[in-house]
Amino acid sequence: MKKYIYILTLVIPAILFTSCTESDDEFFASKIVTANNLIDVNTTANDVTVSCNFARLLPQDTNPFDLYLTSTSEEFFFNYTLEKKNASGNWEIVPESGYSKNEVLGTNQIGEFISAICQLDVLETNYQYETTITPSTPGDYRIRLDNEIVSLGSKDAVTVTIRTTVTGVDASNSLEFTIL
Amino acid sequence: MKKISFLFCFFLALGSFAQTNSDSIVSPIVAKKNEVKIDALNLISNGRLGISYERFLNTDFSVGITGMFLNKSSKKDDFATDDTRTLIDYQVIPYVRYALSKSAVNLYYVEAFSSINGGQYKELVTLNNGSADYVVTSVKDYNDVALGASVGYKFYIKESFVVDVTIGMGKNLFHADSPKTISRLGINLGYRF
Repeated sequence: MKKYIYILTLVIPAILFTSCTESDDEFFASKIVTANNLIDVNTTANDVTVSCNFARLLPQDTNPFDLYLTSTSEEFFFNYTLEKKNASGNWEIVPESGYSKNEVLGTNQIGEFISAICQLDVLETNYQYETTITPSTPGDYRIRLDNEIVSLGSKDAVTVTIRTTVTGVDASNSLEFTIL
Repeated sequence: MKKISFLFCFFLALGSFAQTNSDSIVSPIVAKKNEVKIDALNLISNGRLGISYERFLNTDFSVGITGMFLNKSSKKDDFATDDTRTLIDYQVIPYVRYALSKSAVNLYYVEAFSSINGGQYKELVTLNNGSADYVVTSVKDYNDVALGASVGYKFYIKESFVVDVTIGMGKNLFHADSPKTISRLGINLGYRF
């Protein structure tokens, strides 16, 4: 019995460590670039429009950076949330049933966030996104945006993250607006 | 990494307390000075062939060499696109062992080893196609030498057949892009003669 305890004290960690140490040096092929003012937010009395348009050859200090050749991805995404102020004055996420959306360019994936998916145009020159969101009920709303746009499906290539700024929002990347 | 270091120290300590004081009669195993083994753990988990030879100098010390070659074909095929940074193609591991237990039939040991290892690593390379920069991953070869230590336990069946479990780690010394640490893990099955 004692012998088997001895064996197990070494065999079990050995088996566990085999997988753990083999992946000790995980490699995340990623490249971060910066380009300001790529996302824009506009509101009216009835809706809010989020748009994003950037060149595949993203201007940089020296040479432009080819997003498509690096990521091999035809889609980039960023996240934002739409919130509504409730009766007690707290912000709560508006569910998908609480608004309608008009996808002009690109698409959306709705989950906890609204994931805005910018798609490469047919000429393969620009990644584009534009969606107008019309809340179903009047009230005070807030939209909050991430300022990173990330390539989608770059598993076999290099994942590109674009650090950007958003126009039409305050310093905390959010905008409060009222739907009448 | 801290966890692994902690557990490594734990097993080292465990090994040092694992002195057994059985068999004052000299075992016939002691007369057999050579041992060959094959690593079942790496063969099953990584498709890696590991063969060892160990020579017993006396009741306390032995020296040996392990060769590890090949990888699962799926592992090699996936390397260009998966998220691992390095792939070890071969390891040649000379080692010295010191038996912590008096028993020749089942014993704990400590080991110092060197690993001459080589394989492939990936790095990001910025290229320019005349109109723009772009980044690709590039696969390159490396060779390096690691030093490390292990603890292990082995026991004999019918005074000839051995099961030998080794766990240890080493650190590569020379190449910046080789894996920083080398694991020395094995469940070896072999024969002593």
